[in-house]
Amino acid sequence: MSATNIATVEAPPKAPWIQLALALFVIGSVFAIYRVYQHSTAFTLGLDYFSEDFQTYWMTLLYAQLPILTLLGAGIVGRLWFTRERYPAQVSAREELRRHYVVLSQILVFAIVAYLTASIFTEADAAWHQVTVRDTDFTPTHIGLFYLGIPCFIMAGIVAFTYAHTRLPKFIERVSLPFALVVAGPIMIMPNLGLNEWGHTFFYAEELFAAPIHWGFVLLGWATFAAGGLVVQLLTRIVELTRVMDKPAG
Amino acid sequence: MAQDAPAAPAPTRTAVATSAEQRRAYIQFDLLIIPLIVLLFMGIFSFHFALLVGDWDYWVDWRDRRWWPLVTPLALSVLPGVFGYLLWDRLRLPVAGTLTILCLTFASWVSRYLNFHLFADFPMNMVWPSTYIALGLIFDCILLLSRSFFVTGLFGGFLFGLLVYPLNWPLLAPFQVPVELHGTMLTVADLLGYEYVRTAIPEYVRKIEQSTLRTFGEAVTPLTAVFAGFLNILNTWFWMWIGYLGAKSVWLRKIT
Amino acid sequence: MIDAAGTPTAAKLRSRRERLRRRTLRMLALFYVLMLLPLVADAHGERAQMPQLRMSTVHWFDIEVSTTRLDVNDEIVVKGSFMPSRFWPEHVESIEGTAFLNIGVPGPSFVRLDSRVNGVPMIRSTRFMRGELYHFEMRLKARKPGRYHVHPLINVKGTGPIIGPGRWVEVGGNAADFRLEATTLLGQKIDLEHYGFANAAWWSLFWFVFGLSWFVYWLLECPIVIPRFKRRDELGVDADQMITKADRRFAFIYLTLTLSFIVGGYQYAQASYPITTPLQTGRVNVPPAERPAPTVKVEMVEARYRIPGRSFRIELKVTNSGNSAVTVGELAAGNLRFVNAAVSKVVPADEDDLVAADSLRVENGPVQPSETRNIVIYADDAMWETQRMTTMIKSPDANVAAMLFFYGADGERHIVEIGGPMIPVFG
Repeated sequence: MSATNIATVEAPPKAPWIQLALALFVIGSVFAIYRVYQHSTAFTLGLDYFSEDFQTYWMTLLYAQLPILTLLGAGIVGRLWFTRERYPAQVSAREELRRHYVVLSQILVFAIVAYLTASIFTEADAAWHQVTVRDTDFTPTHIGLFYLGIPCFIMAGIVAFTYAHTRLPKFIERVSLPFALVVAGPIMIMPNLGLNEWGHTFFYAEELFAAPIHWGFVLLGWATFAAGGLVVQLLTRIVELTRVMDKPAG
Repeated sequence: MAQDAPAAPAPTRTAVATSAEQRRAYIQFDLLIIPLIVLLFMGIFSFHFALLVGDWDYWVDWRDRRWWPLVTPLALSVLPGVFGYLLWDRLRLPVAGTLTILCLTFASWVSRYLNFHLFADFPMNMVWPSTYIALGLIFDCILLLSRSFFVTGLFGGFLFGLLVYPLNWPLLAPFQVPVELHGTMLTVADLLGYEYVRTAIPEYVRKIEQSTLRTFGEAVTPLTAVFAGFLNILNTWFWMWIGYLGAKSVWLRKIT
Repeated sequence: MIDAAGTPTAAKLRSRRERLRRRTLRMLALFYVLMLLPLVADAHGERAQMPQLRMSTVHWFDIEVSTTRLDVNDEIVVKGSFMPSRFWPEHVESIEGTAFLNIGVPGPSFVRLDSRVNGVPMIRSTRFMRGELYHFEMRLKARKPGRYHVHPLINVKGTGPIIGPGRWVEVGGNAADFRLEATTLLGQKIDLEHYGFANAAWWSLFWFVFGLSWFVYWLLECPIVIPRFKRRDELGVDADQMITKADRRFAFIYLTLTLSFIVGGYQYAQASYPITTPLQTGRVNVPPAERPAPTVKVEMVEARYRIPGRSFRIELKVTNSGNSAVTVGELAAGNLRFVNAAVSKVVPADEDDLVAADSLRVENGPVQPSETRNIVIYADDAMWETQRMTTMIKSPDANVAAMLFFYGADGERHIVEIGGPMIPVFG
């Protein structure tokens, strides 16, 4: 097969494996350290909201992690926006393919945070609440789940969404509805958390995990069912970008 | 845009020059998308299952004959339905049932061990996850053999409901052997539930065996299983339709 | 750290590597220590509940633990009495609906061997009647070393846990030594910590591996996603051509095997465990404790809480129809005990036992036999503040309830519940 019109000077792009490994290492370490901390203090220093220990060991963490995550998220998204692609029509196919790999890597990071948050940290919350007496909205497992895990989940989603819509020519032109849905699900968990706390405080005293009060979270989890549409959008373009030309383009 | 575009070479039409490069690009994509899908399934399915089935799967003394075999298949068919549609329609891959349930199973074991055993300190024999992988295999095999969502929903969905109980019976039966405690007959599972203290899960919270106990011929389990099967046919079709909607490549015109 | 030639020497590199190794080991050791920190559990939850809820739901008293230091596998008895309040708030579901006697400990650090109320085993849920007296006893076995604040507790359906007074209990020994056995009705002795797990894990692993093997077939095609996506698009309505005869044969074999394993597994389990029984549930009935007809009747005339002085002033109309003069020895409200030291000597069981040993003053007492008289009691202590009872002024339902313990000159104790509206005094 000939491919005379293709720039052969540079090698075809690869996924950003090193950056991806680094991101995974950082995220894995943060969640692992947090988990060790939670394991060693939730059942000891995290049982009584009104104790000094709770304020020191758990509320301080809450007050620290929220601004840090907000600033970090705003910083990354702001940087992505201000360095956005201004000439999408001139992006080479190889560069575009590389950017697709970057987006996929970012979605992979999103998936890792999704797993850590939606499985391990969510069920830690179930396990803890089912064996202790809830005395505040800010329990040790809530602080880990709703004020670390979910914000990281939201941040990972928004970063990937922003990157795609500021770097990929096909996404710059328009908005991907499936991508928007996938990212909106985690974001809407925060307002739903308000419903959850309101309900647990005033109306629902039991810790049944499959209770209707929790079903709003499920609905938002289902937003990721739109991931299929996003994969189709990415795949369609990648197929176009990876065609092997039979004849020189005229 | 006030700024002029810099002079740039015309973009090339493709990023690969040879079939070998193309193959490498495809492999790069596989290496990213496969772990991505696995992790996403582990996260979403765990979350979905925890909040819809939750305690029925967390605790061995919740797996009753009436509610557990009914609630479980209804929640369990959702991801196979949604992603079964996607992977079959777009790739002709009959793997979504097995893959999603394998992901759920793996995530469940990790979570039970870390959260319920190490963190909350329950013995593993009280909190092991049920097994559902066979149901995913049946779903995928029927999809492949029939090449029809209709038939898969009809038979696969039905078997999902029908087989939850018999599939798990080899794991569960030892826990339903009777014991006596202070003049009360219990199962071993009930005994575990009573002795291993759950401060915020009192006995009355268990949604088990609640009915009028009017059981014709004592056919409680088969009745639930068949009913769950019928209900799950509709359920599976519904989620396949959601999968069809979710797999659509919809673009919105930009507002700005 | 560069040698004359400008390159790090091998020795220095080794020492750098050694430092890194040591640092890593130290970090790992720190994690390990954090994981193994002995449990010293805080008191939990009780202070968060609204004062009205704590005062007018369940009155706990005479709480005792048989020991405060024990080892893993040792047993401890927690016992005492409680009386559901006659003034149970209307806005929360009643204890006369569904309730369960429980124990407030962080996780199964103890196992519950027995729990009874008025002698009736509390394996199942029940209901308790307002204004009646119940004696409970729970026998626990220590499972995990640590220092725990052990509370009796009643879960009320729709209302949540109502926590009783806690006692610190220290458990020593080794968690690995814990043993718990039972004998089934078929005569089999079983180890409850591990029974059935190996079997469940084996079946789970079997299905996991079998499920994974399904993918080996499909992943033989590499790369897989884009080529199939393209081919599916190219074939359009004929996309089913992508499924080969070999695929169908493979699926048929898998379907047959899967169904066979399910049926075989079920038959095997039926043969191995021919006698099983459904999970057991239901309700038990607990008759209240019998009590002699009360000889002391009390009506709460007025209750005022003075915020600056942390002082509760309660005016009572007391009728004594007994044979001995009575006076108030203790006021118990929301698990706080205000004791009249002139009448009753109470020593706190530990540093978190909520007893103010000399905090109750009584004016115009005692009440003589056959006499009706108004008396005034003052419960003054910082506990009102430290235990967050002062938030009662923020309640939408400004009613209070408490237990009064009268003592007769003959030493007899009379238990009376009082309740009614509370007026705060701000100045």
